[in-house]
Amino acid sequence: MELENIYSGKILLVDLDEGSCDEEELDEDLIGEAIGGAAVNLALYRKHRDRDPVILGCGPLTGTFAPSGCAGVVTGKSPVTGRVCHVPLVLQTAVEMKYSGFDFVVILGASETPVRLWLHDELAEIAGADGLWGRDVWASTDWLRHEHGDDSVQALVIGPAGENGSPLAQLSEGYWGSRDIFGLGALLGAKKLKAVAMRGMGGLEVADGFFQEAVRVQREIRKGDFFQGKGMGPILSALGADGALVDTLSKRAHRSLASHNGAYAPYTFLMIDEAPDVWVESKKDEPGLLLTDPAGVLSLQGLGEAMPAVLRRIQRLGLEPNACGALLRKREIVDPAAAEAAIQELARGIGDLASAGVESVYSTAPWPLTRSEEERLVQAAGVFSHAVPPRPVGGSHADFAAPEDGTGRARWWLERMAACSILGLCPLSALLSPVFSPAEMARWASLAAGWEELDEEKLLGTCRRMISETLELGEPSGSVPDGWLSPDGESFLRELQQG
Amino acid sequence: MDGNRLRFGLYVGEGSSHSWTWFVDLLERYRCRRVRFLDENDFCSQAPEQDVLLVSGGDTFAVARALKPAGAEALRSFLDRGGLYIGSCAGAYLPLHSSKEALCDFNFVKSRIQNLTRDLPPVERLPEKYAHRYGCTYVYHPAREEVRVRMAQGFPVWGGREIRVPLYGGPPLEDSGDIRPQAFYTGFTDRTVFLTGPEIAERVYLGRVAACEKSFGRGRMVLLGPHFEHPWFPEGNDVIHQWMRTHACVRREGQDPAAASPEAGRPPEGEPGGAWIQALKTEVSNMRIRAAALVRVSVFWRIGAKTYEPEKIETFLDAVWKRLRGVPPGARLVAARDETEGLLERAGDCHRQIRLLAEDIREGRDSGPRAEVLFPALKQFAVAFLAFYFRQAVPQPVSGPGGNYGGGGA
Repeated sequence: MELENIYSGKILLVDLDEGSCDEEELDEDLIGEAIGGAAVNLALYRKHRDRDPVILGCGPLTGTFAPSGCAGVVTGKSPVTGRVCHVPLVLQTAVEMKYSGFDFVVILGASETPVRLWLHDELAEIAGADGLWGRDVWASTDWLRHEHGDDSVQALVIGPAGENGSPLAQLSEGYWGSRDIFGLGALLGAKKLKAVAMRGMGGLEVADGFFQEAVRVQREIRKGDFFQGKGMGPILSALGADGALVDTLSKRAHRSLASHNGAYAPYTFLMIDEAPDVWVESKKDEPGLLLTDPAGVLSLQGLGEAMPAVLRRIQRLGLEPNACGALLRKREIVDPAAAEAAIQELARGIGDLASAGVESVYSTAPWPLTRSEEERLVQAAGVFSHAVPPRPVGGSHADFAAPEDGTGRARWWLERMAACSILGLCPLSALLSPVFSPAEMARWASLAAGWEELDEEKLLGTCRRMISETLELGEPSGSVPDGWLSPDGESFLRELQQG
Repeated sequence: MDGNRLRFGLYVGEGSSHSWTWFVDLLERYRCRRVRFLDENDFCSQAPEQDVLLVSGGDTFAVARALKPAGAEALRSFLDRGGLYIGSCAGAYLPLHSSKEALCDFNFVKSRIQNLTRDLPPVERLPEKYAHRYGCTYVYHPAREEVRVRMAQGFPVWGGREIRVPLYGGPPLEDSGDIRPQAFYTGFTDRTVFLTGPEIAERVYLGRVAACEKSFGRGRMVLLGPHFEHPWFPEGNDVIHQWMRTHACVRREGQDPAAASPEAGRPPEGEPGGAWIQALKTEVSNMRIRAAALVRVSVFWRIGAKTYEPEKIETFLDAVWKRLRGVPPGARLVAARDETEGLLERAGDCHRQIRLLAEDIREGRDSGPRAEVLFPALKQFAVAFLAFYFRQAVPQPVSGPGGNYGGGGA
């Protein structure tokens, strides 16, 4: 194994109780056992569990030439579910973290006063954040970029919702939210950690032949045999969204964006304050918003034309959009002004989810298009975020060689999410193209790392072990509603836990 | 060549730009430890004691004005004692015969530059780097970046071979009887940038002298048009190495090049680095990040006769960072009293200046005055750090042969 091809080589330990940072060399034996990403996060979680750790982790393919090698993962005990969960980071933060010199960041304890963490050039600083506390996500991100003098600085940030301990608080990747449906925003808020900012000036070695193979695979994926189209609209259409919603979005779409080395460009920048077809640099800082979360968009579609503006407010406050949509529907709020007021109230705190009337199945809100048994099962497992659609997007289950039964399909999804979270690949891409099979993903990692023993069997074994070990941890609060699952489904969940 | 014993003087005073850092990389690559960084005052007093003097790129007029006749005298004394002078780009222009004020004190070599004209051809790109006035004529630069040169037959190791080296405004020379040509410009590559028509560049450069030498008794001058010392051009580096190696052999026949002290070759004892190294790393890293952001801004500054871009901020910082980053917190370091505080203070000042420069640009203000403060401050900081660095245990080369071409012109 050539560790320098896939990792920067350091684990950072951040002790918020003491206000100090320490570092450990990344142990090759640990990687040999757990490969990376969520599986290593979990090993580190178990090692430090008495300190209520939050762990940011990269996979071996994060930041490499691998198709969609953009992802990292945040692991922690959800204040909403009581369980350990793994939330993917899918924009630029994980890549920036790895290039800053740290493959894993273990955040321990809590600070007495608001602080922020700054990672750069294998250096880590804990600084005061009194001036940031109370600012929304966007203002905080702007402040950090100004403070460090570079708009390429990436940050994981919490907004007022996280500071106030709202169970709907979402950890945000810069301006644009995240796939956090487990209230990790509130977890960081309880630790008084306002932001983790990072700027990566480092790089990785590249194994012989890896670049060429990565380019070849990218071309194969982009031939588009299974999914074509750019931006959020085609994804929503593939998920069965209402045509009127897709039309509304397409009228305001300005451009599509991809993450680092993305096989697809699944994100859409939507103009709100200006016409989308004007190709002059805007005088406004952010005249719209980036749509990155299909679940959030689907959940808020009842607001019609007002949805983008309300979603922008949700992003700024650091709230989870799917749950916000569920609450607005529950309260039958469709008026934009009333929605805005309700959102502000949610950021101030709502008590627990049950009293707020949110149907919570080990998350802040269910997948908004919940229908099938497998979609219910993956939510009930509560290990990975179902803000990543709990089903294939770029085709049918048959196209992805997934089983025909509900439990088999749930296992298929969980293992795919596990593989992506371990290797550092975008989980949405893995649902857009069957090229992202566990065998292929393992092959890319093997080639990148010069690691002959890393194959599909090892990858899947690590995935299954990680899922069952995750389910063992934590004291679950809440439960699966009666009748949510079939007896087979409940049996499947027990089986998952037993590995 | 015994890099441990030879004494190197590297000019970093007024008029020098940033390319002297490339000589630092070269010296480190060949494990040359005894390096003095000479400003214009040091040059006058210390040049004669060195074995090798290195003068790289910059503003030739400014160098000559700063060194004054005393500097020319020091250079003459250096050569009389058998020293080896290696001048690239501005360092090559400096000792050429000239009637112009300040330059006329340095008339060591009779060879005319071939990039002089009264009728300046129209510029097609990079106008800020194309030409500058020289009395009633212009010194102009039809091509820059990578060029091909062929070493003269008989040159050690490289004789008769063609190599690639970068050109950033250095001279093509006539093959006068006063010099011994050692390399000729033979062509361009797909990385060459033509500032005017390629046919003009061909006329100006091809067949002209790219490198030459002249003896002064036991001393020797080597003049290089291109920057053979650039770290991304290992062949050019080795050509310089051959000159140094050959000279050291020659000097042993005359006199011992360095009074070898009992401590020669033994690293000095030091104190544990402590928190100040981490503080310095933090400061330099934060500066690097700001500088990287500035590179994305379309801006340059004219300081004297030279043009500076944000990339040059990175050059100074990288010269420090690539050596600083590997120093572990507990390393034993040799530092003069107050030196560590001085380094931190200089770094802090540079950081403040970079931040203010970025604010000037962001607010639409003229950032020229700030740049005129920043670049000298960066140079002084880099010099202070490198002087400290070379005093430590034997430096490990941070820039080996090879590396990716990426420009970096003077």
